[in-house]
Amino acid sequence: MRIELRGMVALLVGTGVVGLADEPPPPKRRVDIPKMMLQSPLKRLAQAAQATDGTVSPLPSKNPKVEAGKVNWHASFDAAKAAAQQSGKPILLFQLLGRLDNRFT
Amino acid sequence: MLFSDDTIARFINKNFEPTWESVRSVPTIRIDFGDERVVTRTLNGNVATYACLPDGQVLDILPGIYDPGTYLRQLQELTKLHRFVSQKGNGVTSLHDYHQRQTEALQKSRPREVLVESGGGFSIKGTEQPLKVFLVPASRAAVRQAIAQGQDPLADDNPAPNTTDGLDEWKALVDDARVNETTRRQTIHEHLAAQPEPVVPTDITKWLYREVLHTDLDDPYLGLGKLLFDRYPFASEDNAASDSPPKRPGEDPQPQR
Repeated sequence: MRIELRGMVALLVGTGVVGLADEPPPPKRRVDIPKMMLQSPLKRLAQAAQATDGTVSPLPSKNPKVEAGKVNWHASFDAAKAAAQQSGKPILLFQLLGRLDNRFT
Repeated sequence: MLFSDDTIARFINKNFEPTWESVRSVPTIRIDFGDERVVTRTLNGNVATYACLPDGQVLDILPGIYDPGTYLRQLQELTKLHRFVSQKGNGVTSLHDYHQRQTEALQKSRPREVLVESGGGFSIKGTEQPLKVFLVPASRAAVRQAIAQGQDPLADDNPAPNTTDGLDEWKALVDDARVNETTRRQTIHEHLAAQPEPVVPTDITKWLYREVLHTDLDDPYLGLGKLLFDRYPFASEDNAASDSPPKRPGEDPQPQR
């Protein structure tokens, strides 16, 4: 059994292959697939990950977006302050590790 | 999620200007059992709910996770606290007194004092009487409120779910809420009562996470460094196999493999 902290992802820059730790395991039975069929999706993925300056763009998130409940959240504390000064209501600030609109928070 | 609860969301939308912010990314742990089963969980996912005046001054803080019933009651208390502090003649002094009296109650293992609304309507002379908020001992407030609402003052207002589904989770949340409302709230009341000047959330976020929620935001390993490194028997092998120099707690976080 191995334990890995999230954030560690396999980035195979040399081959241009980007691997995600949560991807399903490879199929047990190898299927004979023509070379081009294998290479094309990987090339497209590698090209998509390359920014114009040659740096690698951020990996796709492994923490999927979810709805942040049914509360009508202001975008920032300053926005909530501005609204509170108009409405006279108190501000409710919910702080957390992670993001409220991510699955893992 | 608490904010998906209709009653809580409606109450917040009606009575507050809500916002949320992330104080840092959440650590997650991924366990690969080696048989295609992988479990991902969060670690140290601590939260805090601040109530603030419209100028940003902190009124009070609810630390950690609550069950919906307790959370809603505490939100109701926070709206009364806002009215208590905002009503004519009160202000910074009343907020200081509130935290001082709550500290004293909790230090003596008594329930925290409760804000009750009284008055409203018209006097015998026909003059309009504003609704006023008072701070009273919890026992007196509970009996008074229950009788006013025609309820049994001894009734349990936080009943367990009717089914066994989620019962364990509910019990854990209620236990968490109890700790939040005693030990953790006491530390917060003490701290806020001791502040000579009004504070805004950024003034006390690091203190809150370190002293109350036991999550040091300045520590890249959030206090888990000892657990992760001190007794890990394969650290030297890992370091030898790694191209990068060994990292220790306090240094920049470095993925291990």
